[in-house]
Amino acid sequence: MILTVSPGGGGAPPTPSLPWFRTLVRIAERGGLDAILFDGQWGPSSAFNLDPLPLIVALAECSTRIGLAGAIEIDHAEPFNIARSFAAADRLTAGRSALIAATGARRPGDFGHAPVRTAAERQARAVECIAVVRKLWDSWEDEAILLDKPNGRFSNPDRVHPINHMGDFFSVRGPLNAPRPLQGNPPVILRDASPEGLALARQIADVFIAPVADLPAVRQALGDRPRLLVTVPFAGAPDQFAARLAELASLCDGFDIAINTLPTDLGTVVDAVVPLLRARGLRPATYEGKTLREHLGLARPRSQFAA
Amino acid sequence: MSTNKQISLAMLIGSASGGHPASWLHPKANAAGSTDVAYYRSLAQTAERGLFDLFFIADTPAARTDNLHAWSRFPMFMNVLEPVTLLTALAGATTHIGLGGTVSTSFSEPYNVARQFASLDHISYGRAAWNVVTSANDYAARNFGHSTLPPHALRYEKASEFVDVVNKLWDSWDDDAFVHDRNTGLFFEPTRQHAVHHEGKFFKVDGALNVARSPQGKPVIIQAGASDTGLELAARTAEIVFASASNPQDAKRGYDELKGRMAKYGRHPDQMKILAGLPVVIGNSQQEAEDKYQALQEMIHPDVGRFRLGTDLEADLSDLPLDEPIPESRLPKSANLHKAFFDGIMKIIREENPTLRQLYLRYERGRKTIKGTPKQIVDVMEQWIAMGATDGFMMQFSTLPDGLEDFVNLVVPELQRRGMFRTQYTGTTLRDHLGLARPANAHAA
Repeated sequence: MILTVSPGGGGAPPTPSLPWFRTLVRIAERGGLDAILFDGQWGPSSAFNLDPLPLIVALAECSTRIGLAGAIEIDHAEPFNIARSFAAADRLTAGRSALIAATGARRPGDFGHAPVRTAAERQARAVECIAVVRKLWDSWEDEAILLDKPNGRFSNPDRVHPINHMGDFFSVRGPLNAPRPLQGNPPVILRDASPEGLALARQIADVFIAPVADLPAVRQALGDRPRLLVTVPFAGAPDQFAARLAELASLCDGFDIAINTLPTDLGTVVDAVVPLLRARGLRPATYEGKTLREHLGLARPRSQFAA
Repeated sequence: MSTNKQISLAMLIGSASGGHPASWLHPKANAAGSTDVAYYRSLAQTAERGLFDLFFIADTPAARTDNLHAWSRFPMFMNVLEPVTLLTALAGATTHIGLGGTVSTSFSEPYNVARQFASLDHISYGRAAWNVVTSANDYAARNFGHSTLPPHALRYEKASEFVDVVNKLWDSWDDDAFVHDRNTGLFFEPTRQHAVHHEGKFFKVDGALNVARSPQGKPVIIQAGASDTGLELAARTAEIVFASASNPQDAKRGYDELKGRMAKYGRHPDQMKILAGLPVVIGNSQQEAEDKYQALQEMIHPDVGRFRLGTDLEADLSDLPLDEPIPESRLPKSANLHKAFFDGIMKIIREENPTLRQLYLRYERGRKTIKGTPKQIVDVMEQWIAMGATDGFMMQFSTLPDGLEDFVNLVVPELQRRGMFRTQYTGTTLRDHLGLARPANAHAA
């Protein structure tokens, strides 16, 4: 069973500082959780939100195993910039980063010069955007970097690939000017309960986070590839909560627990719920892998350009 | 000769192994350092031990896609970490040194850039700086839906509006907007938000940043453009300018000219620090420094040497013999791209008629590396300062980390002995180090 947490809601100090976030990450890692997800929606007010990407990188240093996921509003970002930032973040987190692809936020004011798009256009753009991001991540094959001082060869040009993407929304020549991420492709996470979100997830997600409703139908619509996590609020006594997760476990790949009172409820999950899940054989005693992909049971993909 | 003027010091990371095209081949170089956070941490910590004002990472959002036979031996910007992400990782490993990075205004959203640097400023407790560039190569344009860059004037027009929008967003909350009053349940004071209502030629932004005003009020703005339009933008908005003259006389002219343009924007010359780029190789004797440099030059692969010369001569030299002069028939009459570089090489060819190999072994692309003992290097710095040619220096080390270590261990103490440089940090933010005032919010009464 995959187990992640999303900090949100109450308990945060008025202006959450880096030491406060570090405390959360350390608690979550103590419990062997697979990842902590930063949507940019924590704390009592969404008016005070550090950009999740620099945040997860700043948190890499106080942890060694737990996955660190940060949200990007891909509607308003360029695939080249997204691919670069996460290639760097994956390196700096030693293969523990994940991209939460957020779409459809209603914030027209902040990007008023952008064209107005229908939901269908937005979705098509998102699909193309993530496809371009993955091409860029693959544009340097794993074996491209030689560092061969005796022969003066830094890289092997035959293993570096311009992507020459020409699509409806983007034309991107590539290659990326960054090494392939340690995970090959950092996992792409989607969290959207709508039918459109599910359709989008089927096309682009490695991990889809859905509410507890019609899980067999969601599983079927999603296809086999993406991991299906169910979002659950942390509520009730630890033994009842653990029992409920155990009961739902066969319908999904795991759970993303929304923590509403920080850091106390996170401590309860780690110290009371996780041991009960371990006792039921649903959670490992400790981390078995090093990268987030390994925690999620997702194979590291070869470059799509590899011969 | 002594002066009490305190200089500002920044260090440039272009390539992680150093500024010399063959630096990664140096026996002591960490060839894989460009993607290794531990390596960067140690560089930043060394610079902080040397009390540098600023650790700066140059960037372009593109890999080269042609002439790979040469670029694969000279990997400038080919395999690097995105700067803001990297600087965030360095924020936790350092406590005082400023953290600056390049982000292009041609391929990003003002809201996203404002948010990224405000976040870096929060995470580093007031040490962020943004180098505003418009990008100057088509490799970058092709990654963002264009086949070539827009013309220079249009790029700068867009950059100018971009910087204005970012500045407005950084001021979209008063410093005391977030009151956190548990008694009244008021998290922020609504009258202290100042939503941006911007509608210009390139951007339409109607919103407020979703993060509080940052510790420095605004992250520090850096520019390096040398064109007339670039200087005008710098005079209006920049707080650090990287200058590139290779002698103090030219630097002094540029310094006076740029600072002279500030008054018409209501700015005082002290609101900008001009830092002269200064490439150095340090030795125990001048001969040792010269030898170190020459050893590096000799590591330049002929393909790389031909390519670097050919780029600035705007000619394909790949088939020419190395030990004969370049036939004049192969060269254009005048430059189309970098006129100063082209004219500089042509002067050497006319006056000395060197072989292709001799020419690439001495070619420095407009720079002039200072090779000498710590005392000789400080003599040069002192001369520039005494002439009023600069406020400080953007140090460029041919090889890293040893060039930086030599500088921190040998040159910084000499600067301190002469009263030119701090002996400890006296503030905590980059603005404190530079002596730049924290800007008041434009909306403050």
